[in-house]
Amino acid sequence: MTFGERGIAVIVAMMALLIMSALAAALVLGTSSETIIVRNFRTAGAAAYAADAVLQYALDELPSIPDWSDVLDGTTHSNLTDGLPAGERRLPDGSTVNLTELVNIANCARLTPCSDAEMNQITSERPWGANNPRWRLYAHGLMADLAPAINGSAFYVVLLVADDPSEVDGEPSVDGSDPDPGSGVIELRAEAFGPGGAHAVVDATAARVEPEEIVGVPGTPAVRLRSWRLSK
Amino acid sequence: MIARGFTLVELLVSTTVTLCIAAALFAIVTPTREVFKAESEASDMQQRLRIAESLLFRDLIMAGAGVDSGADAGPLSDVVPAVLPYRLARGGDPPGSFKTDAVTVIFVPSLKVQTTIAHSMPSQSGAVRVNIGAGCPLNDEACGFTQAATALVLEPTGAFDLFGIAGVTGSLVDVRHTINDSPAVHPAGSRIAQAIIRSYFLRTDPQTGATQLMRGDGGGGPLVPVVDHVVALSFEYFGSPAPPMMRKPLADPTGPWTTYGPTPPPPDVQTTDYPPGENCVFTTDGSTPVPRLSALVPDANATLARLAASELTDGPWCPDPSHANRFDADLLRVRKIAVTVRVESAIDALRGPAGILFARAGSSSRGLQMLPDLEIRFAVSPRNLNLPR
Repeated sequence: MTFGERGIAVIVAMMALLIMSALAAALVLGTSSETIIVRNFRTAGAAAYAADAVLQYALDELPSIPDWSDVLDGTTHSNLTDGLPAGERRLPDGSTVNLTELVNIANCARLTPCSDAEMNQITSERPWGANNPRWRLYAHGLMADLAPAINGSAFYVVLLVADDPSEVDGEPSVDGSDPDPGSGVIELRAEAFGPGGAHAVVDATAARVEPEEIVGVPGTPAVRLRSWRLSK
Repeated sequence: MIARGFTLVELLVSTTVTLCIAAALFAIVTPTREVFKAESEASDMQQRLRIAESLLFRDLIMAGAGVDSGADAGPLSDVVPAVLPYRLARGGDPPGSFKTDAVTVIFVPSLKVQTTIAHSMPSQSGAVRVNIGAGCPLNDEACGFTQAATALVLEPTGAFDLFGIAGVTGSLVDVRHTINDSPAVHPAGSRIAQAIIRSYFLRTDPQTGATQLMRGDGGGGPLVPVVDHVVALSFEYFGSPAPPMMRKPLADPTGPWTTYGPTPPPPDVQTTDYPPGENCVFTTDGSTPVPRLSALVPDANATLARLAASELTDGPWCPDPSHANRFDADLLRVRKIAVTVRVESAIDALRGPAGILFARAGSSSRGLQMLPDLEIRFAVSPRNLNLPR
């Protein structure tokens, strides 16, 4: 380099490049963050709909089961099952759902198996003692199996059932009979798990409708939801 | 090496070239900074829209969740409205009014805190003793009611009241009335349940002139701004075109007795200002209840009918026209709510002149420095108002 070729143009250009690179990097970061936020927002909404879908599926099946005690004690399951109601399931995005742990958490708020005493313990979430719900898996499987028309659904759905806690018979695995106030009433908990940790929970109370109630109002189902709550 | 200086021409040329390069670089850098600033604000606007949508969706979708056990188990719309087109609160909008930019949602959030009152209860602040019924938490004389929660009291007539809970002593619940006082008295055995009351409406910040999306809890708690720079909010209501029908005879011990709306009293019994055997949704032909509400015409290619402001403010009134907290019976029809939310840039310099693109004028006059308002429209069909009937 000769003496006359020295100058500050290169330095100015490099500084400008540095500033522009920083701005560009910030833009890319902002855009990619926005993409992630939007994806999480979308999957959270889709999870709620997936949970609602498996709930509706169960409501279609339940009227044909003559004695709901069979559902409560695990004798009868849904047609939507993907093997034994226990163990780990892998979702399309690689994450996992452990069905055993899911039931344990619902019954005694811990991952390991619950004893009778633990399930009967009075807590703020389960304040009914011997009438505390004893959740069991009724349906579990991929959303894609439940609704094949929805291409590429990446959700895994489960439906837990338990006896209505307004029943006071101390038999949480038996649906009471008249005049027990909880006769013909069960609790349903639908959960959906999806990509990026998406998780939605819907709690519902369902009641059997006696056949004579159908008379006069065509289309009345034999099971009626009393309440529907998006819990998570 | 020749030790000589630069000529004037060389200096002029090099200075000119350097200035040209610097000018070109600045010409690129300055708009990039503006774009960066605008992109950041655009992300913020979208985030505010997401928050507004999320809050409104989660509350509206739950509207109407009612009690889970007992003869009257079912959605709130069997008795009282779950969605009201105004801000329901003491000091809020007058009962029976209609605001396009306000909504109140009512639901029972849990099956744990639901029982009945043990004695008659005036529609005012005071104390009430609650019964321990099926479904109440064990070892809890107050059936799960706790301080600072909100309680909903409802009667089969359609009369309802909201209270904030000031304290609990044994089975005695100290309640503070949070809507208009009235001389009405809730009879013993009326339903009482913990409830969530959410009102959403717009308020203008007196400091900045910007409008905020506000949320009230209906239980006497403070109003909370939840989203800033919301310049438009509107709600439209769609409902069942069919009038209510009797589902089963009044003599049947277990409800629901109607497809929606309060059950009429027996023919010789008067429970409201309406004649014996009638209420706000049913009249009588002498022996059989007859719908007081008329059939509506559904929208084209739709199953629901649009409920205009006039239909939601012209009666018939529940529980009766003279009640201090009356509501239009057509509110019991509501099955879907369409929501429109519009947000603006929080930065004046990114807003242009008021018009189609901007609800409020800003100071920007260059297209590159403008971020038009963003608007979202979505519809929510509350599940509890659309349960199979």
